[in-house]
Amino acid sequence: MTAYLVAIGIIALIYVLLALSLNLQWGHTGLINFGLVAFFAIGAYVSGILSLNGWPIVLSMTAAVLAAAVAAWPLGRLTLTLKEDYLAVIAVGFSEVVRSVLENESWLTGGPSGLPGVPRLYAQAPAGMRDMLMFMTLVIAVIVVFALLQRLLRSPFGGSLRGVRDNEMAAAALGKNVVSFKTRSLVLGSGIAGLAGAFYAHYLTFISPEQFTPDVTFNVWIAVIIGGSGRNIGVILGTFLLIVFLEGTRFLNDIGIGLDGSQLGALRFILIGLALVLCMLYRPAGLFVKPERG
Amino acid sequence: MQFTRRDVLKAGAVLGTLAVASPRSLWAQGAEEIRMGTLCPITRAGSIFGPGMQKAMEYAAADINAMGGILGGRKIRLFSEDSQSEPDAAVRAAKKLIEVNNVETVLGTWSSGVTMAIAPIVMQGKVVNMNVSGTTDLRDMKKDEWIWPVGGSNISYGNMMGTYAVKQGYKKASFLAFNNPSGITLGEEFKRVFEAAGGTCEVIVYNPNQPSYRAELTRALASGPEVIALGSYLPDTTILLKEWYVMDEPVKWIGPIWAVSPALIEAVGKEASEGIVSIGAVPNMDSPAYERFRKRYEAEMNQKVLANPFAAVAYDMLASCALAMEAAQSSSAELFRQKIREVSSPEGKKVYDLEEAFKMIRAGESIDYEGVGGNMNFDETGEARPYFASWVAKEGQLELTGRVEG
Amino acid sequence: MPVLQTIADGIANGAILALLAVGLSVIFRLNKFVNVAHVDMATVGAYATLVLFTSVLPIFWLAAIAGVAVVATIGYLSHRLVYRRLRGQRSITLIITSIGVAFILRYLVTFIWGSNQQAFSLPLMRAVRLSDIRMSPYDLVIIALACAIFLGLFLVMRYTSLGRALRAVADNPDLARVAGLQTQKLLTIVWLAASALAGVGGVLLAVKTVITPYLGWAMLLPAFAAMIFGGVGSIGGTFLAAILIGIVSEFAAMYWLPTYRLAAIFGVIVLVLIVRPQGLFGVKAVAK
Repeated sequence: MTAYLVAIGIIALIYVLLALSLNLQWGHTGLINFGLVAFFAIGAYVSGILSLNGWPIVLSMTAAVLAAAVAAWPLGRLTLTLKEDYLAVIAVGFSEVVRSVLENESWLTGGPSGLPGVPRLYAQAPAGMRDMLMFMTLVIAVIVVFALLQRLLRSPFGGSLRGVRDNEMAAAALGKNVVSFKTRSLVLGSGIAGLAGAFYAHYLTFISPEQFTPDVTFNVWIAVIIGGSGRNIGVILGTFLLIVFLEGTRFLNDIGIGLDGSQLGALRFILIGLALVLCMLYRPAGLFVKPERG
Repeated sequence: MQFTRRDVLKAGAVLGTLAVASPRSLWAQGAEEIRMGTLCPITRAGSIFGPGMQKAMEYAAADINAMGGILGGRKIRLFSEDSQSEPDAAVRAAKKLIEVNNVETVLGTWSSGVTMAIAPIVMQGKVVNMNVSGTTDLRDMKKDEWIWPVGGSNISYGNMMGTYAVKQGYKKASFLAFNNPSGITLGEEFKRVFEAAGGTCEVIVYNPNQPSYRAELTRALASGPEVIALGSYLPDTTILLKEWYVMDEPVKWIGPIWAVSPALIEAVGKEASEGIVSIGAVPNMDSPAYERFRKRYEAEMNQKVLANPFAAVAYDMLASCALAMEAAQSSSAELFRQKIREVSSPEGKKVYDLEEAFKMIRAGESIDYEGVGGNMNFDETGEARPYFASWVAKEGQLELTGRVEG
Repeated sequence: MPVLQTIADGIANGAILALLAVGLSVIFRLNKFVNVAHVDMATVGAYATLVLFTSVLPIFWLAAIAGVAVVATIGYLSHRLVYRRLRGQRSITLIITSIGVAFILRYLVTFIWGSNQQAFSLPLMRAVRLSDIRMSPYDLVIIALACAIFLGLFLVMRYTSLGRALRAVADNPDLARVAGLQTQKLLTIVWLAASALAGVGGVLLAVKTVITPYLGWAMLLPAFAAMIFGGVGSIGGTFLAAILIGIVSEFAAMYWLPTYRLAAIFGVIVLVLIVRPQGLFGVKAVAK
């Protein structure tokens, strides 16, 4: 049982990193980044490919973070011209283009067959310990990222970001370079997403393009919105709740509701959809914030 | 009602305690039962096959339990999870099956990505996995008798299709490949075999879920091929054939049985499907066990067995494991995995009926379980090399035309 | 000439996309959020028509009309029961809600019918030749129907009082209300119409291809693309954008790589948006 919980915990923490990344971009800067999974994928693949080519994992992960951050820059430039809702659609298109490239350029990425055998973190450790060590590393990573973000968000930079989020025109009138702030937020957030991707690759040891569809982006959005965006704690709790729900419905099988296999599978998703709708109807600000913050 | 942080933490603590404290008491029904896990693609990409595969394994478990169980009356209890055809979700599902439900097997994975992703977990968790994944990465992997691909790899499908095309005397071919490991590997192997015999073949890769494949089809027809071979699935094959019918260009078609199946013919009709050839791992159609399975499956699942070639094989997966357990006199995966090859290899006496197979094992005889879905003959690497056959669509029916030998 | 054929094929695909995208665009303009569940309405339309066609209404076009009516109702209900209660919320709230609705619709369909494909039993037909081009008769009907529908929409918006009222509400909802326009009634009409159009798109798509629970969902990105490419809220813009997208996609598949269809679409759109951020016919105020 512990091993199962640790496994869930690892995935949850990876999603927490993604949620923190999104919270920076959306919660604090107001950017509807629907392309989040692109940076997750870039981080995973860069670290995966480099480490398969002999790079030490610490270096490959660093490269992954940088690559994801750099890749966000063009998107930042686009915020110059595009309104946020348009940007949202372009962002999701971007993530699908990235996935297309991952699928097509098999000389580099292994194509649809993916990359098996990505080196693990803590490969030397005995099997049972490995996951635990991974889990602890992720806990530390989340704490570090969380602390850094809190620090950043309390600084003048954070204030400017919120200024841009709440009233772009006023911020611009005050002489802030709005595009520069948005780009920096995107770049930083994407770097964090890249880190999450790198961890993901070194945990699953197998990555393929089909794991990086917009569904991942939507899941993180759901976690952030349900948790209550803007507050990092809320976002973290929201992520855990999402994972609990996604995994918890699995146990319906064990209780044996007496439905056909495929109907049970469909039912799970119907319940998830229902939960989303109800949550948005009755708690649009999120579950872990005070309700008056609408 | 306001959720405070405290409330959430409290709820989490309660849930957590329940989860940790209860596995044995809540979920165990009795120490004697044998726990086997299934992990089929119930939803998403593989959902045409998954439910049928799970159902077939439920049949096998039920049949065995009806015979009185194995290892002195122990009954099999199935724990079934949905892999969602996704590596991510499958890993969590596999962990749950292994760590929470304490199963000895994780059977029935279909997607290559899923099998590849759970492989390390299966080996670490010391459980047996049998799958219908076709990726060649499995062939190269050191499986150590934990992992058993039984469906016939993509390479063997491509090889058989290529061999068939060569035997028909074709010299020019095109290959339309679904953009996933299955389609692409099938295409590459087909091309290799076809060109080794002196022909030319162009491979065109396409994405799924499109409203039309006109351009892809036009490209495939551009070189004037005599035959178009497919590494595809049912929905895209349906659309491709429909569009081809519209275009009215003469060409022959060959495809894998999971795509070129009775369901395809039903969808496109007699005229458009006339003459299309299907290649597939052949179930043991002469055996009465197969006939029984077929009747039962088709009545309950509303799907022809030939339309889901993995269902019959799934029955055999569970059956083989149970037979191996009986032969090893143990339900532990570590022990019975060493008997899997033994109970289904050609050295023993061929047996198709499960009840008879058990009798023979208990009598100490050496058997070759041939199953309902295929021969389950495993080679040295642990991969099953099923027999292959070809079918042709005639007047709206798929007719078996014979074995394909490589 | 093969190029002409590619263009013709692209138009046929674009016609269906236009029907799916226009409702999305209009809802965005009026309700200020991207209704992710919109494409799943198309799926529901196909299944509803299937049920009717194979039971009580064996005449296809009658079943289709009834099926579309069912979808219109469901769309309206989603507005009334769910989205309307969230008016004034941030658009992201509505988007997430629509994701929930999409799940419910798609998996309800899966629950009832399973994931196996279904098909309308309609006769297959050979192509007709129009000089150098071969077109399936179904594609011709699809294109004709789409053109007729869009012409109708255009005429309604331009020349009827309903159209004027809708445009007023779109441009300035508060002013419109003050001026006495029955915003609620107008929104009802819009939701019914938008959902109906998605339903028509779904039925046509199902005629051309096969019916699976993912029928509409697979068109989500192209529909998004058509919406912003055409300019949100512009009916003519959506139509043109969808046709262009269909053509670009077909050219990409023919002359580049079929697996880069979507990349080509987005590439073209980004280039256009850099020059014209409001899309082809979008209102300048919507963009920056």
